[in-house]
Amino acid sequence: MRHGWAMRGVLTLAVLGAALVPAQAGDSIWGKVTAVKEPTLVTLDYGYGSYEIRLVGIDAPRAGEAHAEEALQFVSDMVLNKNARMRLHHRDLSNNEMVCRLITDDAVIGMKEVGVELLRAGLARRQSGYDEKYGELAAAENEARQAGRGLWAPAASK
Amino acid sequence: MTTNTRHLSWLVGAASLAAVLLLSVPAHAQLTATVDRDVSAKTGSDSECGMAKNPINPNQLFAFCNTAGAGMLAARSTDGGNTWIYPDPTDKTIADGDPGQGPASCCDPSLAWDTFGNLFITYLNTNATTVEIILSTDGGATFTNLVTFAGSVDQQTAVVANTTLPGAPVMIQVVWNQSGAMVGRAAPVTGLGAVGAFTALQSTASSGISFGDVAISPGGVVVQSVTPSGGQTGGNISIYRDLDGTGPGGWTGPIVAGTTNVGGFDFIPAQPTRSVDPETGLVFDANPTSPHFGRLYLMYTDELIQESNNLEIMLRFSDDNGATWSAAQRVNDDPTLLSQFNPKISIDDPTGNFMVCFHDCRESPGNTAMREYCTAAGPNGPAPMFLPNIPVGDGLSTTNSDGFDFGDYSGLDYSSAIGHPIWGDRSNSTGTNPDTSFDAQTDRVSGNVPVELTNIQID
Repeated sequence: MRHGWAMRGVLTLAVLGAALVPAQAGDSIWGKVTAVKEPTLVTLDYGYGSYEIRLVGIDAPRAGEAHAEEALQFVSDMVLNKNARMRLHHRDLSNNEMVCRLITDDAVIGMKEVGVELLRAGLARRQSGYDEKYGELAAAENEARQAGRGLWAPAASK
Repeated sequence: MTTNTRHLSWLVGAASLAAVLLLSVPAHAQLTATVDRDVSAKTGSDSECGMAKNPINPNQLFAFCNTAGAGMLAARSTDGGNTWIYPDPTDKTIADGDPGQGPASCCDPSLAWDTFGNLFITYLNTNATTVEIILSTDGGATFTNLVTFAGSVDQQTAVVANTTLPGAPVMIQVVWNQSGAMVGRAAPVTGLGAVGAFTALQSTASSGISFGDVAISPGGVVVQSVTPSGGQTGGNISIYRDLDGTGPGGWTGPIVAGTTNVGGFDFIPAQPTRSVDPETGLVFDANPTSPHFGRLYLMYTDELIQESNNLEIMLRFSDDNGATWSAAQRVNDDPTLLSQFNPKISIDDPTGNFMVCFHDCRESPGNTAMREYCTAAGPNGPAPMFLPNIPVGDGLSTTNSDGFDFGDYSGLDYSSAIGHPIWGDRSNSTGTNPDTSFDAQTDRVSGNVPVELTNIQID
């Protein structure tokens, strides 16, 4: 009986979540990442201009907080001076930031979504309402949590 | 002749011309729409839809849209778009991980239905690293996986056309953006379910551009249009051509067809978080008896005064497969300084008549609420003359600020003399939208096209 209620609750949350999530982000722009200002804020030069890109759906430690430098280095290693593409999710009307998925386009690294990898490494937390279509952010965060990585390491998560 | 006399003479002349023009447009030269149909009628947003009609059975239509949650909205009609049913009625989606419904999807639908009855359905996979093409040979009831193209991909589109190319009575062309350059592959189609091998990847070697549209000439020449990616100020509308269709030759170009002040991410009051782009569209006149057989029409959005948010729908045409282009003419007929955006063009192959539908803010003083409008024109006359724009949507819609607004594009199929636009709609004019998200809404638009202009006398 308890499982039934729990399942109904999960389904209700899933339906409500789907109702809040937009149809899908779209339209890529390819370029080179020329700066990593924060773990979730990078500059993409697309040849005719550049965008300051905020990674969608995640919060990373800020400067001075635990794992902040590690998160910054992680993102720099993935994208700095490398080819990548942004898929616009939306423009944040409060500060005009372009909130995007950032996907590597590099022969060595391959095609990986930076935000998902940051979560998988345990160096960020996901925000609610941005879990795309198949729960990718939640899955990556859960993997990090279960493995006790970064923010989820036993000592850090207390 | 005094100044007053000259003014009077000009006025009489202008009045006479206006009267002749009015008289020469038949009273029945007017599009009409019916009541809207809510294709999705479910929670969560549905937008960026494709719409296709079976050329050999105009009662069969298929609609395919981005949707919230897993998969993509898929609906079909067997009565000419009056009512809609679902290949998977349990969730109204396909490409969601369920078996037999195609690889799991992210988004970005594109549809093409050929004269053998093959319905080609394309979309991006879950993480936008493959272009997926699935095939339905039974009107969109069931699906088989046709082909997958991998890479850093986006903006894929498939088109089909009857051609005179040897061994390709029908040709399918797929183009997409891969690592910033437009690329494509083509294949001959020789029967129902009979799709030949796709050509090797052919790249335009372009960069920094965003895809617009692609079309195939009756002779098998493939033409695609692109515009600058990113920014709010636009630039050239560039044309790339593949002159041998399914042959080994690659893309040539670019040819500049015109310019637009609409950028790749151009924010307007109606799309404040998602932005709009020029949304170029291409169609060929494929009617051998048309006076403009082989004419190529290019439709796009322009902002005549930079950053004015007064976006207009424009049209140019080419009679040499895109090598040279006419001057631009305006498609929307409103006198306002408000936005028209997300246009779509579709041509009725047997006649050469074509329809343009678009999101129109002409009724919204704040430039934030849109209604779907349509117009149409025929191949008679030296240049297209559009019927009066008519409101098609039954309600006004505004964004719900979910980040995606109305999406990047809308859908339209115009064939068998009936247009079927499809767009994201929040008006709940049908009373079937269960929440405040966008539902995929459509209508049936018909009328006598082309405009018959006769007895024009200009003194």
